Amino acid sequence: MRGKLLSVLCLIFAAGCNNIDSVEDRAIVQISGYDYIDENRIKGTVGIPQYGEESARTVEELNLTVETESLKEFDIQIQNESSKPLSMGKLEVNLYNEDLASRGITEFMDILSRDPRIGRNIYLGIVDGDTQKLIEGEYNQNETTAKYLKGIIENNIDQNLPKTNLHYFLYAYYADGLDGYLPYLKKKNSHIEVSGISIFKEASQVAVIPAEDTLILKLLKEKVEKGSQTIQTEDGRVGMEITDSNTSYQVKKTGDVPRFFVNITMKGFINEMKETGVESQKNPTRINKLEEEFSTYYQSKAEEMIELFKDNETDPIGLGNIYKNRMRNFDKQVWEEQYSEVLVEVNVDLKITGMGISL
Amino acid sequence: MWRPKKKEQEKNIDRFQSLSSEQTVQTLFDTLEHSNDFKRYKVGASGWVISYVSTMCDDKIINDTLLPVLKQHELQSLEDMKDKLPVDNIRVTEDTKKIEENVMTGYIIVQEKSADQKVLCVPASKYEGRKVSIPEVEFSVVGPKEAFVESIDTNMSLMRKRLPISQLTFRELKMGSITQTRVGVVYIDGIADEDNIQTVFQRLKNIDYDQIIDSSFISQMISDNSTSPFPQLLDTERPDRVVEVLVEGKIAIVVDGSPHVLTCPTTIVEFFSASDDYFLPWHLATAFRLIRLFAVFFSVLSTPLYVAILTYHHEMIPEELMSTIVASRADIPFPPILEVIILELTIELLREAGARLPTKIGQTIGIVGGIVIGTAAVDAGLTSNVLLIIVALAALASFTTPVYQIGNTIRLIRFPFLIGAQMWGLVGVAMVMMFYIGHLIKLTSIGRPFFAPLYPLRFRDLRDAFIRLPFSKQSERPLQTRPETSRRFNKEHVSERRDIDE
Repeated sequence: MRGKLLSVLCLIFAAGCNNIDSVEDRAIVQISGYDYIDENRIKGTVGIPQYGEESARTVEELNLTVETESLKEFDIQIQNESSKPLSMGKLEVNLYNEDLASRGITEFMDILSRDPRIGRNIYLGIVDGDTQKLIEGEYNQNETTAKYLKGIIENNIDQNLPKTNLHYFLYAYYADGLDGYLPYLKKKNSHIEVSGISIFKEASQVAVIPAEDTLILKLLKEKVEKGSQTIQTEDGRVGMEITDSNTSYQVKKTGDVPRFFVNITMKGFINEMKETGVESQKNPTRINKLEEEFSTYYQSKAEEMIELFKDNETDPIGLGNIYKNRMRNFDKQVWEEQYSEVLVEVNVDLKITGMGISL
Repeated sequence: MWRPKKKEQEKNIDRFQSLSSEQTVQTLFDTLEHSNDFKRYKVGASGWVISYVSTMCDDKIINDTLLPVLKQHELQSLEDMKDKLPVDNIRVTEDTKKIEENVMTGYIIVQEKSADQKVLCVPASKYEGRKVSIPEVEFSVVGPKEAFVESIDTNMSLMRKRLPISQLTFRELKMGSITQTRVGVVYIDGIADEDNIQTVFQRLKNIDYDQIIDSSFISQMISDNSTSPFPQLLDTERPDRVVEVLVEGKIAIVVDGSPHVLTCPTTIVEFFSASDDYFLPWHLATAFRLIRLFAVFFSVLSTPLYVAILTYHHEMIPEELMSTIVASRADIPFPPILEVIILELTIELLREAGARLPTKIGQTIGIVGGIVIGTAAVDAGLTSNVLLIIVALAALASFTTPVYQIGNTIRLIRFPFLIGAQMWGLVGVAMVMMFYIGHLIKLTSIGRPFFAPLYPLRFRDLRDAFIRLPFSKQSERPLQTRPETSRRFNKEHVSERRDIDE
């Protein structure tokens, strides 16, 4: 009994040693970004929302920027500038400047993956230009930059952007035969846009896919339920919305080098063909032709993209990973040597299910 | 210092006991004559002496029945009178103890001569009591609206009229060395487990106390763990509820002077089942039961979670709520824990005040407290808006429990959770929760597990625990009571197809 009482008392008194600040006494970092200055120095910026009075409900953001020589120092220096202890638990977006990304962000990944307070569902992004300017920028939306940026990325993931967050990136980063990709962001006057996808090899950026091709990567990676693409046909521009897609990979190893067969089946409907001036109802053959045109478009684009990956020795689709999962005796070194010679055959099966309500 | 005092006390008790034990009829009446409502006189010429406590006796019986017989007839002896008097349950006795008991419960004592030890006891008791009224604590919209009253006989008749079978057994005990309270143990012979009955009698007989004012005295005295905040006997004011559990094989304890009847063995889930649950279709009843269960958890855990999250786990606050919470917390000078304790105490004060005041003023207090103090506290910057809503909802949720006793428990058990939340965050909440679950697992109600059907897991009893399956599925009595006969009805008979009316 005495022992029990003593241990409970110990717990109670030991709890007093804990230094606690409740939520309003903390600076809650929602967005952080890093810029490259030179070999030794980086510049870090954090965005902290300042919640106003209830009646006003205006959202202001406090931005702190410091230049440091290492990441460890960054933490200390940024605390020097803040009146409240920084809390990283609600971090939502983490940005890197393109210069920094092409030089590698290994160090940052290590910190992000080790901190238990940071969620795995935060978004990472690569900034074309200055991160600090993007974070400090004033945007028309009445919300913080962090929330605005998060909204942009989330909305794009529903559309043409492949799924991305810290978890997916770290998975790709640590997996064999798989490389990561991150949204490529750009500040345009008073708004931000997703201007493409930056492709990584290990932790360094090697290529950027332009915005109009992001759907191709999404098709290769996952099920698309709401993607849209516009192509140029001989009659003019035609827009299509993909409502359902499915991708399957087949590996065949006949000789030394494995061969991949990618089968993409998708359904979609035409939502824009005004320019062509063709009355779709009366022209079923035209639709058949459109199906073919779109199929060849996707097929050539996908093959082109895979070629680009091969050239950069990166593998965001995860061909190596598929190969490793399905074949015995996977040798990473051998695979890496073979990768540029691997044959990938893309086969697109597209079905146009609707043409909208045309008059 | 207190040793001699104790001896003195013992002496006092001895004096009281000797006063009541070594008596003759004469000394008994001498003692009684100190009271002004004790009447003793000779009747007419025949010389019969009658003595009674006038406040306990019915004038009608004295004037219309007893006195005419005494005055008109030429009666030879007490036995003769016993045959002639048109009153039942008359006895002739010489036992002073019996006589004392009788005279104090409203019997009229008739003697041939005033010094005689042999007397005739004529029952003429008159009880002033409440009429059977609608239940106030356990109100239900549908179903029977009778509630127990303070008289044990009325209460028994309320039960007997619902269970007109000879097996319904009522065994009476006298308890409380001074109050001599009548305590009845009621069960259905052949259904109730013999061991349970034994346990109840054993515990009741072990009680040595001078006064038993209410059934809650008994409840506290015979409970397995009297230090537990959880009530281990269910008390109810609804006869229909008692009959329901009697049929399940439980045992009821009726106490004279208490409008609440105790039933045992009970389980924690029984405290969250209302009698309404059986009057509604089973799916609706199930939904409402689950809502009630959720309300209990919400009531206990909402403020501790508020404290834990705001102090330790900011990550858990959704982005959309962040600005609301931070903005409302910004001007509060206290940390969350103090804020919560202030508001919880305010609510507790309001409840206590409301419970002690007459109904009409009580309502005013509720409004004054709820609206005026609440908004004033927020305006003054003592508490935040968000917390006010949480605390008010938690208080509201704690009122949803159908049994009043467990409501009190719920009121209290959130405070350890609050302390845990402040000291170790969610870990603390989990620790306190583990402590409570451990406690509940160990707890028993007259020797039967209190946390059943969860622990030990009794799958059959789950049919009427968190959910209530239709009556057709309840073909067996719950395992918890270990009934002597467990079958309620023939299951096959229910599943027969009756698609043709014969």
